[in-house]
Formats: sequence, C-alpha cells, structure tokens
Amino acid sequence: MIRPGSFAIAGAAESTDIGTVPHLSSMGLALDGAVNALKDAGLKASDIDGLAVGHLPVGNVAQQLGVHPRWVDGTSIGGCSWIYHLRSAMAAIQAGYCSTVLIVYGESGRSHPHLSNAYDVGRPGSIEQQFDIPYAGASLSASLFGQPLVRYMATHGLTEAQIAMVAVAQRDWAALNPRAKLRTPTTVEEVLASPMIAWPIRRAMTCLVSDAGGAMVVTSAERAKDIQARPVYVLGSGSAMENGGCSPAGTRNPMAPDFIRTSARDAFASAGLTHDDIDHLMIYDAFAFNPIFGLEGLGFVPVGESGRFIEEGHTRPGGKLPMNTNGGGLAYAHSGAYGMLCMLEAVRQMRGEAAAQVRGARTSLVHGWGGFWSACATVIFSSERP
Amino acid sequence: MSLLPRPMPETQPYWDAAAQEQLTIQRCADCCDAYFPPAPVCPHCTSRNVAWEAASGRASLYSYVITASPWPLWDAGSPVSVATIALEEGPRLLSTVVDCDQTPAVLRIDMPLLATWRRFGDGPRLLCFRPAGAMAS
Repeated sequence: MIRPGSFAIAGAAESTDIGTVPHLSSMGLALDGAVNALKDAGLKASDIDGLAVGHLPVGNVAQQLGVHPRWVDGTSIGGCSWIYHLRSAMAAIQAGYCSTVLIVYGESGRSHPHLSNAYDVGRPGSIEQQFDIPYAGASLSASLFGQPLVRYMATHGLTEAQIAMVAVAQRDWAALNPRAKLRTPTTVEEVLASPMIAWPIRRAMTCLVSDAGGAMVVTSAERAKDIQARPVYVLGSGSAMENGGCSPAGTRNPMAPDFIRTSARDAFASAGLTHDDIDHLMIYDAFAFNPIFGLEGLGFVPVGESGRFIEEGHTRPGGKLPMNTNGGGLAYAHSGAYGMLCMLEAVRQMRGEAAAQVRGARTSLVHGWGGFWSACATVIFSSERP
Repeated sequence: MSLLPRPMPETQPYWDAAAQEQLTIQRCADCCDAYFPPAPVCPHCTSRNVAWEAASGRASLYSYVITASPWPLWDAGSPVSVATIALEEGPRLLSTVVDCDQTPAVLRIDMPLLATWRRFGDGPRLLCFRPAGAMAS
C-alpha cells in the first residue's frame, strides 16, 4: 500500500512548442519535453535511474537522453499509458528498484504521425485488424469510441446539444489560455453546424490533431524536498483494463463500463478522499462525449445525468467542478495519446501556475483512457502533503 | 494498417466458414458460454474445451454511429453505419447494417437483424447485417 503523499511530482514540463512542430518527430518532442522537465527539477540525466516511456521505444529514449536506467516501463496501452506509468513508478521506487523516475511522452500526431510511434492500432494478425478495422472507416476513432453513445442517448435522453455543450464549456477555458489552439468562444449552434464525422459526432466534438511532448519526474516526497521545483503530491491512483481490441463491442456494460469504476474506486480509496474533496478535474476528452462517460464512471454524477450536469455549467469557469481547464483535447492540444498533457495541466493547477488557474484548488483528479474504452488510469494530486 | 482482414491460425476456421457465408462462433463445452472474437481459450472459465458452431445469424442492433467517411474500398459514396451487433447467442461484435437507409430514423436501437455477407474489393467475405424481414439484395 502506498500512503497518500509519499510520492511527488518533482519536475514537470511540456515540450517547448506544441501544436504544429514540423521540425521534430515524436522522438524529438519526447526529448524536448524530457529536457524541460529535468530543467524544471534542476536535475541532470545522471540523476535519473528509472525511465518510463509510452508509445516510443524506451531504449532509444534512454540512449538519446543519456539516461542509464536500472528500471524501465515501456507499457503502451493508449492515451492513459503515462498515468499508468506514474503508478508503476511509485511502486518501483517503493520496492527499491530505483529512486527517481522520468516519465516521457512525445507524439507528432500532426506533422509526422507515421514516424517512430510504436503504438500501432490494427497490426496484421491482431483481432482488431480482422474484426474491427474493416468496418470502422476513416473516422476510425470516432467510429470505435462512439459505439456506446447512440444507445446511451436512446436510453438516457442525452441530446446532441448536450454533447455539444462539453465543447462549448471547454472553449471557455481555452479562451483563458494563450497556449491553447482554439481560443474563440463557441456556441452549441456552431458545434452542431460543424461537419459530420460519424453521426452523431461532429468535427467540433472531436479533439485536435497536434504535435506535443511532455515529461515529469517522480520521486519520494522526502527526496522531493531537495529538488528545486515545487512538489505536487500523489494522494492516490487506480487503473483497469477492459479489453485489448480496439472495438468496445466486447466491453461489459458499455454504457457504464465497470473498468472506469474500478480505477476510480482504487484512486479514491488509496487517497482516502471522497468526491466532495476534489477541487479540479481532468477527464481525457478525445471526443466531447468522453467526459460524459467519465463523470459518471468516476462517480461524480449519477448514470444518465452528465448531459444535464454539463448543461448547467458546473464544469465551466466559475462552476463547482472545474474540468479540463487547459481547454482539453478539444481546444488545447491533442496529439493522439493525451494522458500526459492531462497530468501536466493538473500539476500546473496544483502549483498555482496554470493559465486558467482555479483559485484555491488543492486537489486534482486526472482520468485518462487507453485505446477505445480498452484501458483507463486515474490519479489524484494535491498541492499539499497530507 | 491493412484494411482487409489477415487471418491468424486461431481465426482461420472463422474465415474458412465466412468464405461459405457461414457465421461461426465458439462455445465452451465446460461452462456453455458462447464467445467472440475467436480464441483457443474460453474467456469466461479459461477452459480449452471449446468448439466452433454455426451461429443462427439472428441478432439485434446494440448501438452504432454513421460514418461520413467509409473506407474508399467500400465504394459507398454516402455515409455507412458502423454498428455494435448483439448476436442472439450472446456475444457482441462490430459490423455494419446494410440494405436499409443509413439514417437514425431507420436504424433503431434493438431492431432485429439477420446476418448477410459482402465482398469489398479483393477481400474475403465480410459479415454484415440487414434488417430482419427486409429482402436480401
């Protein structure tokens, strides 16, 4: 059992540039983010003895950074991989396998999506390549992630306007963030007039396609005292896996997936917190409907009521549950696997240095997805050590 | 990413039957559960005592989207459903509903469906579904 607050994020940074970065591949973005995180911590590569990298070859990252890890984690389970790495890193440090872990992310989703990315959906001879990809069409992500949505709408009365409202709320946050890609406030009417990707999913309900990197340093709260960056403490975490294919067809209970509840239960239990204790929330929004399923799976809103909850403005600036405060994948940046960027916004919020800072926020919950309802991971951060 | 299915040893029986327009699934002889996708081990009880069987082809529409960009290979020219299908035997799988308007007004959640088969390009026959009661094209 890892006690709340016994580990800290002791350095964290995004790549210098995000959005459109044609002079770097995924590897270059990863290295750039890693160097920025080391600088933030005031550490040298030689101070790092554990390395976790998702969707890129971990050995190449070690070699090019000049890190000689005695513990590595190359787990690549989609967008939540880096949240998962954080859990594994804490366990590895507690076990004595290493003392200071660098978690690295880089993805040239926009400029060079086919270079150096090791996460290959639809490999020949995989189940999804035979039974999912042939049907999905070029809107693959929307087609697969969107599968539970229409049944959910028919069952719970969720409207297209309510889905659009997620994008509207997040654009309000992006408007406060100079680093966000889309900063002009939008309306439900505008979202519903954007081109259809896969009914009922429209372009303005779909994440951006960006280039981005980022990294964070994880170490014990004790060791973090000697590091220059303001530490952000990990109170609890959870993770769960549901299926390996990219289709959610085989997911148990697709409209209220069990694996989300498992991850949330473990995160809250290990943190010793309840939902009322959470000041700030990041739910990975590959699409506008992801937070709707996330709010319910995490237990913040009863099943079937997220549409109304969003519509009432609770997640907007000034709302009682500020969510996706960087603008999210819909308006800030999304390079394909967004989990690291979710965590970095939470770290900025906990340090009090976010562009759209939530005043007085002391706890932040981050929830990421991997694949298409395939895996998820959850972490709860705090600005204070309990 | 290849758009046409590439069988593996564990799935070859499925594709052999598909070539004859037969939908096959597997059933565990120990726990009696039917399952899909193909695997040599029952996902419910880990038994290796599993066997192929013909599925009835009767199913219902669990959920779907209507993609505006079906693979060019489909030569569709207009939006196409990407659907989660619930087989009568229990398993759910991804497919598409054909032989009807690809609109929310026609594609009703839980509507009864029947298996049918299509070829796209040089690929193997792919499992599709059509509204039960509609004439096969």
